[in-house]
Amino acid sequence: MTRLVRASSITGTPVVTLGGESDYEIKDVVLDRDRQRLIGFTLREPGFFGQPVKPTLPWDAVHGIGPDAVIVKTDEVFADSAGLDTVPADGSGDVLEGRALTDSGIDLGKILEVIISLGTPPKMVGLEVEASEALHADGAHLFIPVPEALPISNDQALLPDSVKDHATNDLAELNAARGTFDNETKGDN
Amino acid sequence: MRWNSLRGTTVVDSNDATSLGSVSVPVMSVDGSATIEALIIEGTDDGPAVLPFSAVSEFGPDAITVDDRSSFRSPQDDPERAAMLGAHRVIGKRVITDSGVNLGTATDLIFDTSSGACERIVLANDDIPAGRLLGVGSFAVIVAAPQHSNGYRPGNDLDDLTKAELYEIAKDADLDGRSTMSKAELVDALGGSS
Repeated sequence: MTRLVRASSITGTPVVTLGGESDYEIKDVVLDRDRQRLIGFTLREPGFFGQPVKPTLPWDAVHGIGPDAVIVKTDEVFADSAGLDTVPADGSGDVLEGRALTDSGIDLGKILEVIISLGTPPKMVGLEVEASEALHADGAHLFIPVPEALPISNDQALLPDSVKDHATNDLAELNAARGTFDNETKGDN
Repeated sequence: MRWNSLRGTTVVDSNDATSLGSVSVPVMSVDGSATIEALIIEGTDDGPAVLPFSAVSEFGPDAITVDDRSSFRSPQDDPERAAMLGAHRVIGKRVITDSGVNLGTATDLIFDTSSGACERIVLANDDIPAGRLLGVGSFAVIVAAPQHSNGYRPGNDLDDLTKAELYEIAKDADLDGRSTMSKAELVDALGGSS
């Protein structure tokens, strides 16, 4: 089962080593705009008032993500936070509120959330948008699939035109939508 | 044997029938397989002590016997010290898969009295083979995920999974009638589809 979740829902999830120890929980998701992908997580101390901590968790070091825990191999993965140091602490805040545009310049709506698939390894699979008129669902919150390499900047994400036909209001359907979309992308090449 | 039926059992010297203490917690090694290496014994003349599993001669229903009481010793390594401090216990701890799914709380262990090898980890309403154990820490017990997120992996025995895990696979396979099936029925129904 590939579970899809909003990236923000991972906030507060304990980070647990394969040895069963847990010193941190997830604070925020960090997106790398240059390399167009999720690069990791900022961390905080466990608990409701958990303070942010210096170590970060690079995406590559994540062993698995599930509804109840983010699993890492050992606590050594926290030591190297190179690459994430430069990312502002508010992490995912960068892309949120930006616009989702298609290749032909159609505005699909305001980006509300990044959707990721859980598992080993986890992946970034979609966006939740406040739909524009182009999606015939003005103002509704819809999920749209995204390709693995997603051009994304401070202000917008650039999507293939075909995603327009695969917007869905059911998170569970995003995976199926994404499958269709992947096939079409392959067919185009 | 179930750990919960061993816990609290009196340890008796087989030579003179004196009580030496009672069983408190297991010292486990997790390295490909899970094994009870030693028992922590409470109430000995010198306080808590380590009794190597191999030093137990009989596991009776009401007592375990020891032929050589000099087998009792102080902790020698980190797992033994941790066990004596009450850390790294399996029982009572949340069990999480390496793909981050909480399976519930471990309530008991089933082990082989001749070798100390752990066979099953018992959960509230289920049990899984101890072979899935990857690590035991202070936060959680980590077990291997069924790997069905990338398609069910043949050779991964369905009997090894909890009912909740089987149900997730059944959901992926869109198996009819899954919501009313027992664990055994789920195993049967899914067994044919791999």
